[in-house]
Amino acid sequence: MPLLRLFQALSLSSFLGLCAVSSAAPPKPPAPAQLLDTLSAELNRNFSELKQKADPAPYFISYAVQEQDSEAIAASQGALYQRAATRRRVLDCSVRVGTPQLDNFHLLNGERPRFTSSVNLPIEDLPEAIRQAAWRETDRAWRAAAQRLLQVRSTAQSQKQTASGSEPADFSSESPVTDIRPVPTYKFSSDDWAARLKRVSAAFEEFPSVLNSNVTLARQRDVKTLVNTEGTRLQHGRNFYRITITANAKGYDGADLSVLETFEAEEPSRLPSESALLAAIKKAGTDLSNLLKAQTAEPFVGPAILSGRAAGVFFHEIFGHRIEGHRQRDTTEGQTFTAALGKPVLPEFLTVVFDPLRKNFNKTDLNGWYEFDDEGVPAQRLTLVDKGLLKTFLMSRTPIKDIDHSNGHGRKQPGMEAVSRQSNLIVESSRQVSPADLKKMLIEEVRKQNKPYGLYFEQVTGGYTTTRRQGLQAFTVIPLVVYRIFPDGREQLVRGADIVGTPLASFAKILATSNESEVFNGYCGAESGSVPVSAVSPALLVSEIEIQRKPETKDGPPLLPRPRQEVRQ
Amino acid sequence: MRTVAVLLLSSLCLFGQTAPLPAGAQKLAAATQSDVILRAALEELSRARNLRSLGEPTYYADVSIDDAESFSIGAMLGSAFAPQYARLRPVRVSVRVGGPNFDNTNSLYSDYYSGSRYDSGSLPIENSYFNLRQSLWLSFDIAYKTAFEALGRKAAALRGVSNSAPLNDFWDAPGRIQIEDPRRDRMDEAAWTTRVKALSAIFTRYPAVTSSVVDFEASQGTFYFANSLGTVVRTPDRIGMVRVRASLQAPDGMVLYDGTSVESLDPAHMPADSVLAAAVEGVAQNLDALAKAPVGEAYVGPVLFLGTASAQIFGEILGTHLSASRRPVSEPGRAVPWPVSDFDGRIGSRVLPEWMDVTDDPTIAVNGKTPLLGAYDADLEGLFPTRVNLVENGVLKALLTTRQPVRGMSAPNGRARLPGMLGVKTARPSNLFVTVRQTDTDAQLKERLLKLIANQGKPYGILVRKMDFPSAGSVDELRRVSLRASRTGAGGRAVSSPILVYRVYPDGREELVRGLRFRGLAARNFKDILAAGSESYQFDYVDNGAPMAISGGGSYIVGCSVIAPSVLFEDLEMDGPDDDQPKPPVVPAPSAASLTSAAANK
Repeated sequence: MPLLRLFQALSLSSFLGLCAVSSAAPPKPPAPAQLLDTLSAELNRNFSELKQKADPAPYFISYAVQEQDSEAIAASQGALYQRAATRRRVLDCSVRVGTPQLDNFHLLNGERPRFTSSVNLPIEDLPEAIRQAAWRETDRAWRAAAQRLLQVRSTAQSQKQTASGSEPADFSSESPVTDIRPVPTYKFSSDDWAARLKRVSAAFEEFPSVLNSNVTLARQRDVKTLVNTEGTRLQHGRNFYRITITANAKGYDGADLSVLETFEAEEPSRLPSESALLAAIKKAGTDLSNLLKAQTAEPFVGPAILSGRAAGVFFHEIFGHRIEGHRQRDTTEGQTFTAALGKPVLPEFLTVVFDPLRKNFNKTDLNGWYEFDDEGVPAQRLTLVDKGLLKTFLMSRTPIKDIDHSNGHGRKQPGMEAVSRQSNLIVESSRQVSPADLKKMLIEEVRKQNKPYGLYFEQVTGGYTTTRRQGLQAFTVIPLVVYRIFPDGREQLVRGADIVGTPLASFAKILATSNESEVFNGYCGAESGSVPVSAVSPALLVSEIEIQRKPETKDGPPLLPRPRQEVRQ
Repeated sequence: MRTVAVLLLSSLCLFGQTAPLPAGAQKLAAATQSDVILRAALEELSRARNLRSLGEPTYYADVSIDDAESFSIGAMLGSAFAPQYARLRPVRVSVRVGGPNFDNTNSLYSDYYSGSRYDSGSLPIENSYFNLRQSLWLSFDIAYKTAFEALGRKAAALRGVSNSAPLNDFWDAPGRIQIEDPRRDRMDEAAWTTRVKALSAIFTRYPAVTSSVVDFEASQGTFYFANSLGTVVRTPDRIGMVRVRASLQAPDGMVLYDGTSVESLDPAHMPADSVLAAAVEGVAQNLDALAKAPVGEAYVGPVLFLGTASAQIFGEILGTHLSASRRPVSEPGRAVPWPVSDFDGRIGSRVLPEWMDVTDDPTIAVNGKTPLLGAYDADLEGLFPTRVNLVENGVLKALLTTRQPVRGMSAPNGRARLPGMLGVKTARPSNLFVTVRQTDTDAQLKERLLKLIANQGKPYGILVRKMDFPSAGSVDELRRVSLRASRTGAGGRAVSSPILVYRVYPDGREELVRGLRFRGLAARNFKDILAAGSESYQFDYVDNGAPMAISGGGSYIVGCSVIAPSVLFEDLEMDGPDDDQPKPPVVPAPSAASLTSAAANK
């Protein structure tokens, strides 16, 4: 069963694929035209030959090349632990046989086929190697596609009697796009940042209870090149920079405690200053030291405030994953909102927008922006929910009942097939109060419900949800820093417990929002892999939330004392 | 006594006293002053020795660090993939609790820890004494907790099981100090990029080859090892290699592949370009010839392994089985699919012809004038290897051992060459010499083959010139070979396929055939070798512990050499291709297409 996850931390090794440091020379930006021309020539040659000779013949082929130029620097307690850079290019080939109405991608009992398998391409633009790899992949993908089409056709035949009404097509028709953007440049001093990370990471030494800590900077430039047999010729890209601060500690009761803070930006000048980083590290260290002394949150049902970032994750999990278009035609999915177009799904003071074209919110860069999706469709701003009413779904090129076209949300990581995915989720509210008033409203609610306290979820690391019918329609949000708010206004830090709930019940309990929105930048994992996303939301007051205990281990902290710091030589 | 000696030694090092010391210890004292990695390792090791707080004292602990730097670059058809340069310091620590007769290792649970981990498996890449110690401290902590948990589970699993001849879990061996200076030469990355691109461009002249890669990889580092028995080792550890892999689809659809590699323990002085180019040409020509060759048919009868092919089967089959291993402890009644040497418990039995001897000698660096790839100073358990006579007059005399006790042997001989799992290292040969007293020239061997087929009334005999070892095949190919091995015996162990197989007709004519594989070729067949050649062939390869040492199959590599004569087997079985073959591609390869259009333009 796929778990749909949103997470803030991305391990370095998965970011880089390989632990490696590049040779000193910064890579030249690739020459766009040559790669596009080479791919187009090979695409046309394969398509025309296959159309003449192959049975079944393809009606659509695309080549998508993603070049990732990435670098990571990790420091801990004043020393470098990793410094690596790599540049790679991978090719995904997608082949469709049959007709747009019924093709090899057709869902059979919820089974989502995969035909592509990323292959490495050289980073040089000489045509020989690129053409050979593209030809080999086309041959492989066509074989797999042809084989599955037979299966689809025979199943479709046998299920004809039971099929209800007209089924949506398997592939939408979209206008070809020709757009060649300049390759984004970057200016990044690896040495300066290595020195800075070493300096700031040493600040964790003030917190002796921290067992291990890391300050990591990851940089990546993505350049995406796409050609397809409809005539699309596309090249575009963007930069990502992210600083991740993590610290872990173990309580004497065996509890594993951690704190996490991240900063995202599109260029290094927009990353936090050294003093801001130091402040974030001191806060992380202080939070962790306090958590070690804090009580564990007990299972609880009652009113709570979710900070803007926690609320962003909450919406991403319980709402965002359920309005992804492809789930609406998959009968193994829960389909919470499939029949709800035009109907109320959220409180009427809430509006939800997905805006992949928005690059920042207030002063924070958004992780989930892009200009074209991974099927080459221009990104569109969508109002998914207008004053509580559901208006549309997030669409890839897989049509659903009543929606024939993509709205630029077909996304994937290399090696996967695109499905509809979230971009920048933005929650807007017409029932806003100041953060102080929101706290007052929480206390009123605590009194009204006769509870000993309410909860404030300040910092969360991510969450997950399941949307399939087998399995619960449930979600979890994983908080790191949680406070109890007592009727007298007093706040007490408690060790986090996971928020659990079911979607429809949770929406009905949203009472009000604050007037200050926060950004949660992260990576969302689902059927088509990991994609960068953002969630922007004001803080939410909910009348009832449920928390459950976290899984725990029973082993204790290290047996021997930590090596003394005076041994630094 | 040994315990006291270690404490004394490490305190001497730490406080830099200059009492009169034996030569090794003097060198160590100096190295510990200047080398923070060594100093941090010794300090945390001496703390870990005293771990006992869960109730079981540590009776043995060790630490290994590879301070490594690697560079690699690959290319296809003249275009380079991104060069990779990595700076890594992987660390492995081991802690044993219990005692030498029964400890936490060699159980299915030996590596399992139910708690949470705070160690990272690698050290900082900077020489900060505090950070090095901090990482080692967390590594030893988890190793001790894991050992404690494993010992309890292992004891529980063995409760109620009786074993008539239990083996100990640990072989003691004297510690030694060996301190050598690190050695690292500058790799000319730009020159290697140019070289690899040029080598990969050779394939543009072979349009039938539809997939090819040439890569170069150099790893240079320093191996550190220290244990609680007083062993301290610091030695350079370097290797460089050029690998070639290519494949094509024959006109009938059969996928054919071949590969080769050229290695050196001195990566700054790899063989000349002409040697490397010849290796690439060899692979391309083999594939060209194979694509045109007829498909072979099932065969039972004499097989002659000539030159390299013979050294390859001695390395792969004999080398693997001469490396001792034991089945780990699991719950009673639960079968463990763990490959164990066919020679387990066979010491004193005849395993080869009476006129054949086998020795393994890591102490020599050259064979005549040719460098050997298997020479090393200390193994992964800090032991100093010696020459071992493995087979004398066809009789098995010894196995290659680590500190893990095995039947028929009484001590380790320093062959812990690969990291391994469950607290146990993996034994591997170094420089394996197969010598014979009864010899023919290779031409005479071929005549004997012809005589055998004449006597048996067969239309042809089989001659093999190259095996796919280490395998250049895909993971899919490995899966097919493994599946076949499980169906056809050979202890279920996958054995690589032959690449260059020839039918030899009574008139001496040779005809290359493709698609043939051995059925159940195993160590037991070697007893029935009929004859051997007078000339010795050296084959160098890199082993990684994966089945058929498949290229890219393991994260830790070790160099080996085999020196063996050609050999004639009286009776082996071969199968023809039984798998369904994919159809050839509908669209011709771009290389072929551009050739056609070039021809049309003329």
